[in-house]
Amino acid sequence: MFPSDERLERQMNRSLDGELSPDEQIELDRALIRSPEQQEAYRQLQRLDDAAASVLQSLFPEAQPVRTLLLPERRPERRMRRLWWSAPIALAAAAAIAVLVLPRTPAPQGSGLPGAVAEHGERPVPVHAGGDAQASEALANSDLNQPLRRVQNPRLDRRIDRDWIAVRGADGNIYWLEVDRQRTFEDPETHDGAIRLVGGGL
Amino acid sequence: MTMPATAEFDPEVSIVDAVRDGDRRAFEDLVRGNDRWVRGVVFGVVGDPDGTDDVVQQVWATVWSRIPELRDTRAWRVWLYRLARNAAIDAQRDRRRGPRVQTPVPEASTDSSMTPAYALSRTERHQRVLEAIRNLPALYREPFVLRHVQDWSYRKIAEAMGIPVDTVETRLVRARRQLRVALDGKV
Repeated sequence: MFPSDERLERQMNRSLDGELSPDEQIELDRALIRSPEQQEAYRQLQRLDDAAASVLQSLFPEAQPVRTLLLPERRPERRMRRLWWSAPIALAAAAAIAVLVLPRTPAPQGSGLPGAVAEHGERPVPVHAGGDAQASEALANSDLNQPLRRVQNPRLDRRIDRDWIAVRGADGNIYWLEVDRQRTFEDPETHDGAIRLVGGGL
Repeated sequence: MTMPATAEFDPEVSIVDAVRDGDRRAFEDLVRGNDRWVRGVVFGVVGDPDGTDDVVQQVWATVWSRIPELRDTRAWRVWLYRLARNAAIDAQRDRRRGPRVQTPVPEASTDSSMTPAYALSRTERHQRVLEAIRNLPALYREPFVLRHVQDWSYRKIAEAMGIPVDTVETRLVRARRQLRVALDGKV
């Protein structure tokens, strides 16, 4: 059973949504009293709406735990001005800084990675703490390939995407690390590269 | 004649201001108060509950890091809506590229007093309705989900989506019309 005209159909919809003024509601009620067919159409619409609301509310229950307590540090706001030479220089500088800053803890046997920047096709080693001794110790045996959470960051550069990963350290704390995923023009696949500690022991 | 959406007093603006200033506790309040509809927006675009959690997590992380860029905090809801919508569109694009994994649809809760036959028919009905909602065009699904998940008024939906109130009403009418046809009285 369908409402017989569009005006009545709109009124029924707005009534279900609580959007009718008292006068409009009275007008609708009168129209429904006059027509049992329209009454049935309205009831059908109401049943459908109740069913849809029930399904959607079961999909998205009211009480959701807050899952965002651990947040990366904000960077200072600055105006980005894109210059043609800025990307390669920034990339080179980031790689150099990462190599300098990251602790020179020996990599586990077999990983073949010296520290900050992963070679093509290889994965980073689980020792990245940006010079923080406590974090370095806590993360020494963590598996960065299977983080608790990986959050994609908006694209910052055509060659570097920056993600955050959450890793549980040996001390039970959760550490957030920032990971550069790098790509080259020859190989559009991204590979995990420089990793920095951005928040830890939280 | 419906009125165009206009700004009303919004008590959450002060929370948004505090989040801009780096207040983590305010951020928790913001998430707690808005997570549900943000999830609704993501589902409204993608039309699939799978993967909603990851996209929503990403949205909140982006909110935290980019909220200093929000100049007029009174417009925070539109800003958040667009952020969530764009993240959902990106996620949908990525998923289309990758292999599609179908996960089971969450079922309606049942209680022990129901007979098995009734519980089964309820679950079937739940899945049928969800499927019909998923099959709606995103244009109609988005306001429909916002209306039902958060019980938002037309005005609030219009404000978040940046469209006129009349358009919200028209899309809701069309969404219900399509659902009625799809379910063909089986509710």
